[in-house]
Amino acid sequence: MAFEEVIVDTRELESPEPMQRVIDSLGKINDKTYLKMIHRMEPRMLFGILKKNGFEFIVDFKDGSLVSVYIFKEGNNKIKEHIKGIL
Amino acid sequence: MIGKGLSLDQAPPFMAPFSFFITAPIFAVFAGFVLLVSDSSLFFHRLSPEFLAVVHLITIGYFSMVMIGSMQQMLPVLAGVQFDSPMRNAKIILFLTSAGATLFFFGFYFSQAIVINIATIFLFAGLFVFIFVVLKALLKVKNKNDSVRAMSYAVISFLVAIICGAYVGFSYGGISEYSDFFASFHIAWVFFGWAMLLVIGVSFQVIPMFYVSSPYPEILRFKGVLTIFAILIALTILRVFGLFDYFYFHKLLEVVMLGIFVIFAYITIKKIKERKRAVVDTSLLFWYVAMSSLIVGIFVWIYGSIAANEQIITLSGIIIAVGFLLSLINGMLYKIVPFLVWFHLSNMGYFDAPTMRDILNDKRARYQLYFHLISFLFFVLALLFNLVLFKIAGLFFIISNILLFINLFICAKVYFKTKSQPLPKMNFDMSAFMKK
Repeated sequence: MAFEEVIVDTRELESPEPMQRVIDSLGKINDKTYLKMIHRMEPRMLFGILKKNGFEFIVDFKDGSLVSVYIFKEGNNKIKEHIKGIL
Repeated sequence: MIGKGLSLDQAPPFMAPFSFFITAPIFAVFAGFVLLVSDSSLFFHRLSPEFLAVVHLITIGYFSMVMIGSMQQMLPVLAGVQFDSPMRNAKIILFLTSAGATLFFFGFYFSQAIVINIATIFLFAGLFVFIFVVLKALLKVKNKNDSVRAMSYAVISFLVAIICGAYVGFSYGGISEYSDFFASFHIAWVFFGWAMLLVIGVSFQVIPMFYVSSPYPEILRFKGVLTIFAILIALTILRVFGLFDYFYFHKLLEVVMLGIFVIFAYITIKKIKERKRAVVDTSLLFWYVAMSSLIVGIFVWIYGSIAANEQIITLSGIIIAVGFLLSLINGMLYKIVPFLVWFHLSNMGYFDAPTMRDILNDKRARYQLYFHLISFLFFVLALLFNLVLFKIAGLFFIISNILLFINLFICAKVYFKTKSQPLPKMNFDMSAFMKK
Protein backbone atom coordinates (compact mmCIF):
# COMPACT_ATOMS: atom_id res chain seq x y z
CA MET A 1 0.00 0.00 0.00
CA ALA A 2 1.44 3.40 -0.99
CA PHE A 3 1.39 6.21 1.51
CA GLU A 4 1.80 9.91 0.88
CA GLU A 5 4.17 11.99 2.96
CA VAL A 6 3.42 15.72 3.29
CA ILE A 7 6.49 17.61 4.45
CA VAL A 8 6.09 20.60 6.75
CA ASP A 9 9.50 22.24 7.00
CA THR A 10 9.53 24.61 9.98
CA ARG A 11 13.28 24.87 10.52
CA GLU A 12 13.44 28.59 9.85
CA LEU A 13 10.23 29.63 11.56
CA GLU A 14 10.02 31.29 14.96
CA SER A 15 7.69 30.02 17.65
CA PRO A 16 4.72 29.51 17.46
CA GLU A 17 4.64 29.45 13.64
CA PRO A 18 5.92 25.86 13.46
CA MET A 19 2.93 24.71 15.52
CA GLN A 20 0.60 26.90 13.51
CA ARG A 21 1.87 25.43 10.21
CA VAL A 22 1.34 21.90 11.48
CA ILE A 23 -2.15 22.70 12.78
CA ASP A 24 -3.01 24.26 9.42
CA SER A 25 -1.80 21.10 7.66
CA LEU A 26 -3.65 18.60 9.85
CA GLY A 27 -6.56 18.68 7.38
CA LYS A 28 -4.34 16.96 4.80
CA ILE A 29 -4.01 13.85 6.95
CA ASN A 30 -6.14 10.87 5.93
CA ASP A 31 -5.91 7.06 5.88
CA LYS A 32 -3.07 7.17 3.34
CA THR A 33 -1.44 10.49 4.14
CA TYR A 34 0.73 11.59 7.03
CA LEU A 35 2.72 14.71 7.89
CA LYS A 36 6.46 14.89 8.37
CA MET A 37 7.38 17.97 10.38
CA ILE A 38 11.07 18.92 10.20
CA HIS A 39 12.09 21.20 13.03
CA ARG A 40 15.22 22.34 14.83
CA MET A 41 13.98 21.34 18.30
CA GLU A 42 11.52 18.90 19.84
CA PRO A 43 8.08 20.60 19.62
CA ARG A 44 6.86 19.34 22.99
CA MET A 45 3.97 21.78 23.27
CA LEU A 46 2.57 20.56 19.98
CA PHE A 47 2.29 17.01 21.28
CA GLY A 48 -0.53 17.81 23.70
CA ILE A 49 -2.53 19.49 20.93
CA LEU A 50 -2.03 16.48 18.64
CA LYS A 51 -3.01 13.94 21.28
CA LYS A 52 -6.10 15.88 22.28
CA ASN A 53 -7.29 16.05 18.70
CA GLY A 54 -6.91 12.39 17.81
CA PHE A 55 -3.46 12.22 16.25
CA GLU A 56 -0.48 10.03 16.98
CA PHE A 57 3.12 10.91 16.31
CA ILE A 58 6.56 9.35 16.09
CA VAL A 59 9.61 11.49 16.89
CA ASP A 60 12.90 10.81 15.13
CA PHE A 61 16.13 12.37 16.38
CA LYS A 62 18.46 10.56 14.01
CA ASP A 63 19.09 13.50 11.70
CA GLY A 64 21.82 15.28 13.69
CA SER A 65 20.57 18.58 15.07
CA LEU A 66 17.17 18.24 13.41
CA VAL A 67 14.03 16.59 14.75
CA SER A 68 11.45 14.89 12.52
CA VAL A 69 7.90 14.39 13.79
CA TYR A 70 5.67 12.00 11.84
CA ILE A 71 2.00 12.74 12.46
CA PHE A 72 -0.90 10.46 11.52
CA LYS A 73 -4.45 9.59 12.54
CA GLU A 74 -4.74 7.87 15.88
CA GLY A 75 -5.08 4.09 15.47
CA ASN A 76 -3.80 4.01 11.88
CA ASN A 77 -1.46 1.08 12.49
CA LYS A 78 -0.64 0.59 8.81
CA ILE A 79 0.88 4.06 8.55
CA LYS A 80 2.59 3.58 11.89
CA GLU A 81 4.27 0.39 10.66
CA HIS A 82 5.20 2.10 7.40
CA ILE A 83 6.88 5.00 9.23
CA LYS A 84 8.70 2.64 11.59
CA GLY A 85 9.91 0.77 8.55
CA ILE A 86 11.47 3.82 6.94
CA LEU A 87 13.20 5.01 10.12
CA MET B 1 9.89 7.50 20.62
CA ILE B 2 6.21 7.04 19.97
CA GLY B 3 3.69 9.47 21.35
CA LYS B 4 5.41 9.95 24.68
CA GLY B 5 5.41 13.75 24.65
CA LEU B 6 3.71 16.24 26.88
CA SER B 7 0.19 15.31 27.78
CA LEU B 8 -2.31 18.13 27.78
CA ASP B 9 -2.90 17.92 31.51
CA GLN B 10 0.78 18.57 32.23
CA ALA B 11 0.59 22.13 30.96
CA PRO B 12 -0.49 24.36 33.88
CA PRO B 13 -3.65 26.45 33.42
CA PHE B 14 -3.14 29.89 31.86
CA MET B 15 -3.79 31.71 35.12
CA ALA B 16 -1.17 29.74 37.10
CA PRO B 17 1.86 31.47 35.53
CA PHE B 18 -0.01 34.57 34.38
CA SER B 19 -1.09 35.58 37.91
CA PHE B 20 2.62 35.89 38.79
CA PHE B 21 3.43 37.80 35.59
CA ILE B 22 0.67 40.39 36.10
CA THR B 23 1.61 40.88 39.78
CA ALA B 24 5.20 41.83 38.93
CA PRO B 25 4.51 45.31 37.43
CA ILE B 26 2.24 46.12 40.39
CA PHE B 27 5.20 45.71 42.75
CA ALA B 28 7.39 47.70 40.37
CA VAL B 29 4.87 50.59 40.43
CA PHE B 30 4.87 50.34 44.23
CA ALA B 31 8.69 50.61 44.25
CA GLY B 32 8.61 53.56 41.83
CA PHE B 33 6.06 55.33 44.01
CA VAL B 34 8.29 54.90 47.07
CA LEU B 35 11.23 56.40 45.16
CA LEU B 36 9.04 59.28 44.06
CA VAL B 37 7.74 60.28 47.49
CA SER B 38 10.72 59.41 49.70
CA ASP B 39 13.55 61.60 50.81
CA SER B 40 16.17 60.58 48.24
CA SER B 41 19.02 60.91 50.74
CA LEU B 42 17.61 57.78 52.46
CA PHE B 43 19.01 55.76 49.56
CA PHE B 44 22.55 56.95 50.23
CA HIS B 45 23.92 53.46 50.78
CA ARG B 46 23.10 50.08 49.26
CA LEU B 47 22.69 48.59 52.74
CA SER B 48 20.48 51.33 54.22
CA PRO B 49 17.12 49.91 55.46
CA GLU B 50 15.14 52.12 53.04
CA PHE B 51 17.28 51.01 50.12
CA LEU B 52 16.88 47.36 51.16
CA ALA B 53 13.11 47.87 51.43
CA VAL B 54 12.83 49.14 47.84
CA VAL B 55 15.33 46.61 46.49
CA HIS B 56 13.27 43.72 47.89
CA LEU B 57 10.08 45.07 46.35
CA ILE B 58 11.84 44.55 43.04
CA THR B 59 13.85 41.39 43.76
CA ILE B 60 10.94 39.50 45.33
CA GLY B 61 7.91 41.33 43.96
CA TYR B 62 9.18 41.57 40.39
CA PHE B 63 12.16 39.30 39.62
CA SER B 64 11.21 36.27 41.65
CA MET B 65 7.52 36.64 40.86
CA VAL B 66 8.19 36.36 37.11
CA MET B 67 10.82 33.65 37.56
CA ILE B 68 8.41 31.54 39.64
CA GLY B 69 5.72 31.96 36.97
CA SER B 70 8.16 31.09 34.19
CA MET B 71 9.37 27.94 35.90
CA GLN B 72 5.82 26.73 36.41
CA GLN B 73 5.24 27.18 32.72
CA MET B 74 8.55 25.93 31.36
CA LEU B 75 9.33 22.86 33.43
CA PRO B 76 6.30 20.85 32.27
CA VAL B 77 7.29 21.69 28.70
CA LEU B 78 11.04 21.19 28.97
CA ALA B 79 11.18 18.30 31.37
CA GLY B 80 7.73 16.76 31.04
CA VAL B 81 7.22 17.15 34.80
CA GLN B 82 3.74 17.37 36.18
CA PHE B 83 3.04 19.67 39.11
CA ASP B 84 0.41 18.48 41.54
CA SER B 85 -2.53 20.92 41.85
CA PRO B 86 -0.79 23.75 39.92
CA MET B 87 -3.56 26.30 40.50
CA ARG B 88 -3.82 25.64 44.24
CA ASN B 89 -0.04 25.86 44.66
CA ALA B 90 0.12 29.01 42.54
CA LYS B 91 -2.47 30.69 44.79
CA ILE B 92 -0.63 29.69 47.99
CA ILE B 93 2.78 30.80 46.67
CA LEU B 94 1.39 34.03 45.21
CA PHE B 95 -0.43 34.97 48.40
CA LEU B 96 2.50 34.22 50.74
CA THR B 97 5.15 35.91 48.60
CA SER B 98 3.00 38.98 47.78
CA ALA B 99 2.02 39.45 51.43
CA GLY B 100 5.60 38.75 52.50
CA ALA B 101 7.13 41.23 50.04
CA THR B 102 4.65 43.95 51.06
CA LEU B 103 5.16 43.42 54.79
CA PHE B 104 8.91 43.21 54.24
CA PHE B 105 8.82 46.67 52.68
CA PHE B 106 6.81 48.24 55.50
CA GLY B 107 8.89 46.48 58.14
CA PHE B 108 12.16 47.78 56.75
CA TYR B 109 11.01 51.20 55.66
CA PHE B 110 9.39 52.02 59.01
CA SER B 111 11.86 49.93 61.10
CA GLN B 112 9.18 47.68 62.62
CA ALA B 113 10.91 44.57 63.94
CA ILE B 114 7.75 42.52 64.40
CA VAL B 115 6.58 43.28 60.84
CA ILE B 116 9.99 42.23 59.51
CA ASN B 117 9.69 38.94 61.39
CA ILE B 118 6.17 38.24 60.11
CA ALA B 119 7.30 39.17 56.57
CA THR B 120 10.27 36.83 56.83
CA ILE B 121 7.99 33.96 57.89
CA PHE B 122 5.59 34.64 54.99
CA LEU B 123 8.38 34.93 52.47
CA PHE B 124 10.22 31.87 53.65
CA ALA B 125 7.00 29.82 53.69
CA GLY B 126 5.89 30.95 50.22
CA LEU B 127 9.25 30.49 48.56
CA PHE B 128 9.86 27.21 50.34
CA VAL B 129 6.55 25.82 49.03
CA PHE B 130 7.65 26.82 45.53
CA ILE B 131 11.10 25.25 45.91
CA PHE B 132 9.65 22.08 47.44
CA VAL B 133 7.11 21.65 44.64
CA VAL B 134 9.74 22.22 41.94
CA LEU B 135 12.44 20.02 43.48
CA LYS B 136 9.92 17.22 44.05
CA ALA B 137 8.95 17.38 40.38
CA LEU B 138 12.57 17.64 39.20
CA LEU B 139 13.61 14.55 41.14
CA LYS B 140 11.30 12.51 38.91
CA VAL B 141 13.01 13.70 35.70
CA LYS B 142 15.35 11.03 34.38
CA ASN B 143 16.98 12.74 31.42
CA LYS B 144 17.64 16.35 32.31
CA ASN B 145 18.50 18.53 29.33
CA ASP B 146 20.83 21.55 29.65
CA SER B 147 18.05 23.98 30.49
CA VAL B 148 16.54 21.69 33.11
CA ARG B 149 19.95 21.09 34.67
CA ALA B 150 20.59 24.84 34.90
CA MET B 151 17.13 25.35 36.39
CA SER B 152 17.78 22.59 38.97
CA TYR B 153 20.98 24.33 40.11
CA ALA B 154 19.07 27.61 40.18
CA VAL B 155 16.38 26.21 42.47
CA ILE B 156 18.94 24.62 44.82
CA SER B 157 20.72 28.00 44.92
CA PHE B 158 17.41 29.66 45.74
CA LEU B 159 16.94 27.30 48.69
CA VAL B 160 20.38 28.25 50.09
CA ALA B 161 19.58 31.91 49.43
CA ILE B 162 16.24 31.92 51.26
CA ILE B 163 17.67 30.07 54.27
CA CYS B 164 20.44 32.69 54.54
CA GLY B 165 17.92 35.45 53.77
CA ALA B 166 15.55 34.27 56.51
CA TYR B 167 18.43 34.29 59.02
CA VAL B 168 19.33 37.86 58.05
CA GLY B 169 15.65 38.88 58.05
CA PHE B 170 15.22 37.59 61.60
CA SER B 171 18.38 39.42 62.64
CA TYR B 172 16.80 42.72 61.50
CA GLY B 173 13.74 41.63 63.49
CA GLY B 174 15.89 41.14 66.59
CA ILE B 175 15.52 37.35 66.80
CA SER B 176 18.99 36.33 65.58
CA GLU B 177 22.30 38.17 65.60
CA TYR B 178 23.17 39.99 62.37
CA SER B 179 25.75 38.11 60.36
CA ASP B 180 27.64 39.60 57.46
CA PHE B 181 28.44 36.00 56.66
CA PHE B 182 24.80 35.08 55.92
CA ALA B 183 24.08 38.41 54.26
CA SER B 184 26.86 37.93 51.72
CA PHE B 185 25.81 34.30 51.10
CA HIS B 186 22.25 35.46 50.57
CA ILE B 187 23.29 38.00 47.92
CA ALA B 188 25.73 35.61 46.19
CA TRP B 189 23.32 32.66 46.00
CA VAL B 190 20.39 34.83 44.94
CA PHE B 191 22.21 36.59 42.15
CA PHE B 192 24.86 34.18 40.87
CA GLY B 193 22.82 31.05 41.57
CA TRP B 194 19.10 31.70 41.39
CA ALA B 195 18.98 34.62 38.96
CA MET B 196 21.94 33.96 36.69
CA LEU B 197 21.62 30.18 36.36
CA LEU B 198 17.91 30.52 35.68
CA VAL B 199 18.40 33.27 33.11
CA ILE B 200 21.11 31.24 31.38
CA GLY B 201 19.03 28.03 31.45
CA VAL B 202 15.93 29.76 30.11
CA SER B 203 17.96 31.50 27.38
CA PHE B 204 19.17 28.12 26.06
CA GLN B 205 15.53 27.46 25.13
CA VAL B 206 14.02 30.86 24.49
CA ILE B 207 16.64 32.30 22.10
CA PRO B 208 16.61 29.41 19.56
CA MET B 209 12.83 29.03 19.96
CA PHE B 210 11.70 32.63 19.49
CA TYR B 211 14.56 34.08 17.45
CA VAL B 212 15.43 31.10 15.21
CA SER B 213 19.07 30.89 16.16
CA SER B 214 21.45 27.96 16.35
CA PRO B 215 21.81 26.35 19.82
CA TYR B 216 24.27 27.76 22.37
CA PRO B 217 27.71 26.06 22.33
CA GLU B 218 27.72 22.78 24.21
CA ILE B 219 30.65 23.85 26.39
CA LEU B 220 28.56 26.70 27.81
CA ARG B 221 25.41 24.60 28.10
CA PHE B 222 27.11 21.90 30.11
CA LYS B 223 30.50 22.92 31.55
CA GLY B 224 29.71 26.63 31.82
CA VAL B 225 26.63 26.07 33.96
CA LEU B 226 28.31 23.40 36.07
CA THR B 227 31.34 25.64 36.63
CA ILE B 228 29.18 28.53 37.88
CA PHE B 229 27.46 26.24 40.39
CA ALA B 230 30.76 24.63 41.48
CA ILE B 231 32.39 28.06 41.98
CA LEU B 232 29.48 29.17 44.15
CA ILE B 233 29.95 26.11 46.35
CA ALA B 234 33.74 26.62 46.43
CA LEU B 235 33.42 30.29 47.42
CA THR B 236 30.99 29.33 50.19
CA ILE B 237 33.35 26.65 51.52
CA LEU B 238 36.30 29.06 51.46
CA ARG B 239 34.24 31.53 53.46
CA VAL B 240 32.91 28.96 55.93
CA PHE B 241 36.42 27.75 56.72
CA GLY B 242 37.76 31.26 57.06
CA LEU B 243 40.04 30.95 54.03
CA PHE B 244 38.30 33.63 52.04
CA ASP B 245 40.39 36.57 53.14
CA TYR B 246 43.74 34.84 53.20
CA PHE B 247 44.15 33.68 49.65
CA TYR B 248 43.61 35.29 46.29
CA PHE B 249 42.10 32.03 45.06
CA HIS B 250 38.58 33.36 45.60
CA LYS B 251 39.37 36.31 43.34
CA LEU B 252 40.38 33.90 40.59
CA LEU B 253 37.13 31.95 41.04
CA GLU B 254 35.09 35.16 40.90
CA VAL B 255 36.87 36.26 37.72
CA VAL B 256 36.16 32.88 36.08
CA MET B 257 32.48 33.09 37.03
CA LEU B 258 32.12 36.68 35.82
CA GLY B 259 34.00 35.68 32.66
CA ILE B 260 31.37 33.01 31.96
CA PHE B 261 28.61 35.61 32.38
CA VAL B 262 30.35 37.96 29.93
CA ILE B 263 30.80 35.10 27.44
CA PHE B 264 27.13 34.17 27.85
CA ALA B 265 26.04 37.76 27.18
CA TYR B 266 28.37 38.05 24.17
CA ILE B 267 27.13 34.75 22.68
CA THR B 268 23.51 35.79 23.23
CA ILE B 269 24.05 39.08 21.38
CA LYS B 270 25.84 37.17 18.60
CA LYS B 271 23.02 34.60 18.36
CA ILE B 272 20.41 37.33 18.12
CA LYS B 273 22.45 39.18 15.46
CA GLU B 274 22.89 36.00 13.42
CA ARG B 275 19.24 34.96 13.70
CA LYS B 276 17.65 33.65 10.53
CA ARG B 277 14.73 36.09 10.50
CA ALA B 278 15.68 39.73 10.37
CA VAL B 279 12.48 41.01 12.04
CA VAL B 280 13.22 43.37 14.95
CA ASP B 281 10.57 43.44 17.64
CA THR B 282 10.56 45.14 21.02
CA SER B 283 11.38 42.01 22.99
CA LEU B 284 14.53 41.69 20.94
CA LEU B 285 15.57 45.26 21.81
CA PHE B 286 15.03 44.43 25.49
CA TRP B 287 17.40 41.49 25.06
CA TYR B 288 20.07 43.73 23.51
CA VAL B 289 19.77 46.22 26.37
CA ALA B 290 19.87 43.39 28.92
CA MET B 291 22.95 41.65 27.56
CA SER B 292 24.88 44.89 26.95
CA SER B 293 24.05 45.99 30.51
CA LEU B 294 25.27 42.68 31.91
CA ILE B 295 28.65 43.14 30.23
CA VAL B 296 28.96 46.81 31.23
CA GLY B 297 27.67 46.09 34.77
CA ILE B 298 30.28 43.39 35.35
CA PHE B 299 33.15 45.62 34.23
CA VAL B 300 31.86 48.50 36.36
CA TRP B 301 31.67 46.13 39.35
CA ILE B 302 35.26 44.94 38.75
CA TYR B 303 36.43 48.55 38.56
CA GLY B 304 34.47 49.47 41.72
CA SER B 305 35.93 46.50 43.60
CA ILE B 306 39.51 47.30 42.58
CA ALA B 307 39.04 50.97 43.43
CA ALA B 308 37.13 50.01 46.63
CA ASN B 309 34.54 52.60 45.63
CA GLU B 310 31.10 51.97 47.19
CA GLN B 311 29.38 54.37 44.80
CA ILE B 312 30.72 52.57 41.75
CA ILE B 313 29.77 49.17 43.22
CA THR B 314 26.22 50.45 43.82
CA LEU B 315 26.19 51.78 40.25
CA SER B 316 27.11 48.33 38.95
CA GLY B 317 24.20 46.94 40.99
CA ILE B 318 21.80 49.41 39.35
CA ILE B 319 23.12 48.62 35.86
CA ILE B 320 22.74 44.88 36.49
CA ALA B 321 19.36 45.09 38.27
CA VAL B 322 17.60 47.64 36.04
CA GLY B 323 19.58 47.41 32.81
CA PHE B 324 20.11 43.68 32.75
CA LEU B 325 17.54 41.80 34.87
CA LEU B 326 14.53 44.12 34.51
CA SER B 327 15.10 44.53 30.76
CA LEU B 328 15.54 40.81 30.23
CA ILE B 329 12.47 39.85 32.23
CA ASN B 330 10.46 42.56 30.49
CA GLY B 331 11.57 41.29 27.09
CA MET B 332 10.78 37.70 28.00
CA LEU B 333 7.30 38.64 29.21
CA TYR B 334 6.59 40.13 25.78
CA LYS B 335 7.28 36.76 24.20
CA ILE B 336 6.03 34.36 26.87
CA VAL B 337 2.64 35.96 27.59
CA PRO B 338 1.42 36.31 23.95
CA PHE B 339 2.74 32.81 23.33
CA LEU B 340 0.80 31.43 26.31
CA VAL B 341 -2.38 33.12 25.11
CA TRP B 342 -1.96 31.67 21.63
CA PHE B 343 -0.98 28.24 22.93
CA HIS B 344 -3.83 27.83 25.42
CA LEU B 345 -6.38 28.98 22.85
CA SER B 346 -5.00 26.57 20.23
CA ASN B 347 -4.95 23.82 22.81
CA MET B 348 -8.66 24.39 23.44
CA GLY B 349 -9.39 24.09 19.73
CA TYR B 350 -9.40 27.80 18.77
CA PHE B 351 -7.19 27.10 15.77
CA ASP B 352 -8.01 30.50 14.30
CA ALA B 353 -6.73 32.20 17.49
CA PRO B 354 -5.07 35.61 17.01
CA THR B 355 -1.35 35.40 16.22
CA MET B 356 1.26 36.60 18.71
CA ARG B 357 1.63 39.84 16.77
CA ASP B 358 -2.13 40.42 17.02
CA ILE B 359 -2.17 39.59 20.74
CA LEU B 360 0.58 42.06 21.64
CA ASN B 361 0.75 45.32 19.73
CA ASP B 362 4.49 45.89 19.26
CA LYS B 363 4.07 49.67 19.10
CA ARG B 364 2.62 49.73 22.61
CA ALA B 365 5.47 47.55 23.84
CA ARG B 366 7.96 49.90 22.15
CA TYR B 367 6.57 52.93 24.04
CA GLN B 368 7.04 51.03 27.26
CA LEU B 369 10.65 50.24 26.31
CA TYR B 370 11.34 53.98 25.87
CA PHE B 371 10.02 54.79 29.35
CA HIS B 372 12.02 51.89 30.77
CA LEU B 373 15.20 53.24 29.16
CA ILE B 374 14.58 56.77 30.42
CA SER B 375 14.06 55.47 33.97
CA PHE B 376 17.27 53.40 33.66
CA LEU B 377 19.17 56.51 32.55
CA PHE B 378 17.90 58.51 35.53
CA PHE B 379 18.77 55.70 37.96
CA VAL B 380 22.36 55.88 36.70
CA LEU B 381 22.43 59.70 36.74
CA ALA B 382 21.01 59.73 40.28
CA LEU B 383 23.88 57.64 41.55
CA LEU B 384 26.52 59.56 39.64
CA PHE B 385 25.34 63.13 40.22
CA ASN B 386 22.45 63.69 42.58
CA LEU B 387 20.26 61.27 44.54
CA VAL B 388 17.26 63.59 44.00
CA LEU B 389 17.17 62.28 40.42
CA PHE B 390 15.86 59.03 41.94
CA LYS B 391 12.49 60.81 42.00
CA ILE B 392 12.54 61.30 38.22
CA ALA B 393 13.75 57.71 37.79
CA GLY B 394 10.86 56.60 40.02
CA LEU B 395 8.33 58.59 37.98
CA PHE B 396 9.42 57.07 34.66
CA PHE B 397 9.65 53.67 36.32
CA ILE B 398 6.00 53.99 37.39
CA ILE B 399 4.90 54.97 33.87
CA SER B 400 6.93 52.15 32.34
CA ASN B 401 5.40 49.52 34.61
CA ILE B 402 1.84 50.84 34.30
CA LEU B 403 2.30 50.42 30.54
CA LEU B 404 3.71 46.93 31.06
CA PHE B 405 0.72 46.05 33.22
CA ILE B 406 -1.70 47.36 30.57
CA ASN B 407 0.09 45.47 27.79
CA LEU B 408 -0.04 42.19 29.72
CA PHE B 409 -3.65 42.83 30.74
CA ILE B 410 -4.63 43.33 27.08
CA CYS B 411 -3.03 39.97 26.22
CA ALA B 412 -5.12 38.29 28.93
CA LYS B 413 -8.21 40.10 27.64
CA VAL B 414 -7.67 38.55 24.19
CA TYR B 415 -7.44 35.15 25.87
CA PHE B 416 -10.68 35.48 27.85
CA LYS B 417 -12.57 37.15 25.00
CA THR B 418 -11.64 34.42 22.48
CA LYS B 419 -12.33 31.71 25.04
CA SER B 420 -15.85 33.01 25.57
CA GLN B 421 -16.68 32.55 21.87
CA PRO B 422 -17.85 29.27 20.31
CA LEU B 423 -15.18 26.99 18.85
CA PRO B 424 -14.53 27.61 15.14
CA LYS B 425 -15.10 25.04 12.41
CA MET B 426 -11.91 23.00 11.88
CA ASN B 427 -10.19 22.52 8.57
CA PHE B 428 -10.08 18.85 9.45
CA ASP B 429 -12.85 16.54 10.59
CA MET B 430 -11.91 16.42 14.24
CA SER B 431 -14.97 14.49 15.32
CA ALA B 432 -13.83 11.48 13.31
CA PHE B 433 -10.59 11.41 15.26
CA MET B 434 -11.90 11.98 18.74
CA LYS B 435 -12.12 9.02 21.09
CA LYS B 436 -15.64 8.00 21.91
